[in-house]
Amino acid sequence: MKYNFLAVLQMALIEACTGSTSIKNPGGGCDKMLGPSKGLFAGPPDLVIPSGTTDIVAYIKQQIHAVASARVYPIANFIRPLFDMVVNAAQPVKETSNYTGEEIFIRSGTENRTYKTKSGGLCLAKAWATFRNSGLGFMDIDGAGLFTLYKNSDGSYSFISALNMGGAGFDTATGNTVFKNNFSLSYDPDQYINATVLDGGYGLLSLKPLEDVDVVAGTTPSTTTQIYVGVTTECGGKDVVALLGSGLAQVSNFIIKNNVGTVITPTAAAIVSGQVRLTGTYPAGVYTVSLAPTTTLYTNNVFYYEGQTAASVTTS
Amino acid sequence: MKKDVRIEGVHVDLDALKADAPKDLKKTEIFSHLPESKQDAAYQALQAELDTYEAKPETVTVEKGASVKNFTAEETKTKASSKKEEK
Repeated sequence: MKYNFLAVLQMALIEACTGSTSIKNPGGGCDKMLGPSKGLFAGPPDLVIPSGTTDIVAYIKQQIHAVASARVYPIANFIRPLFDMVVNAAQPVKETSNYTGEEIFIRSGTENRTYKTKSGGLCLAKAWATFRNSGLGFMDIDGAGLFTLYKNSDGSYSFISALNMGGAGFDTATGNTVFKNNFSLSYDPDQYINATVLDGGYGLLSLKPLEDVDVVAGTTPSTTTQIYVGVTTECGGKDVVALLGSGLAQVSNFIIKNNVGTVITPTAAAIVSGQVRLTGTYPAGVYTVSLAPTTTLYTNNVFYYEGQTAASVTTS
Repeated sequence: MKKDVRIEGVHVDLDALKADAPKDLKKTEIFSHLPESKQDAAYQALQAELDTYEAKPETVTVEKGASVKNFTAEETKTKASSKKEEK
């Protein structure tokens, strides 16, 4: 069984008319519940967070750098603060008897939230639009570090299923209001009540989302023994070499291929004249230089960047 | 055993350095951006790292409880040739 949704019903076949074993005793309970939302993370609902996980912040940080199929995405937190969150509470669907006036609860309806941030501009609007129909689940976090996940029957945890999520356009600035990006989330409250409230997630509020970067040919001409490249953010064109310094200059952070696609491992990497210089043997020709996968960058302590476009470099 | 080292901010992959053909040229070029006064020391430090790395002993798997003896080169040759003869 994946989730603990009405677990008791799935333990054995139960004839509905023989008893009321599905009714849980309402005594006791725990009053711990999330306060106002400070963060939202999206992730694959089938991602299994192991039961033995002791540091959720470290785990999620690693998953932010995972391959796309297992990747976790911070949507909002202290890094991209919420300006506003509009909650359209689920409207329960009920039927009222015309004859007796009896009201019968049919279903919970759907809860819809819109997260608003004044950060990110149009680049973020474009990125968030790609989350539509993604099938991702979510994790809520409040300002005290309480967060919610499903607890599976084997003790592991998973993200909560969403009905849908994704960019919901933006609010244009007016004479009285600022520009805001919108991210909408819809979910079924009947599913949400099966989540478990967990503590100790305050650090999640400081984790960053990945930023797309491009490798570009350096301004220094490349030779048969030295290739020069730069790394800039796709949005805004920030110089990542200047931001990260020597930590970026690591041989395995870059993948060099010759014109037939053969990978050539550089011997050394250094920051020279504000560029990454990759020393090796490169017979005169055209080479592509790309950034290593995020999993490799993470291992090399280069966090929160993912390479997109490769540089084309000619050596002579 | 370190497979890669960082000297004067330069990250060097020792395996790639070993595999690269004109090794000496690379070692010189690797530090060409440093002031001349620092190049020699950096080069010596890299050479020392490379020597240590190249001198690493071959990995040998030995079953638990087995007795281990250091064979001389001559003994190793003898054993290898006697195995061939058995075949």
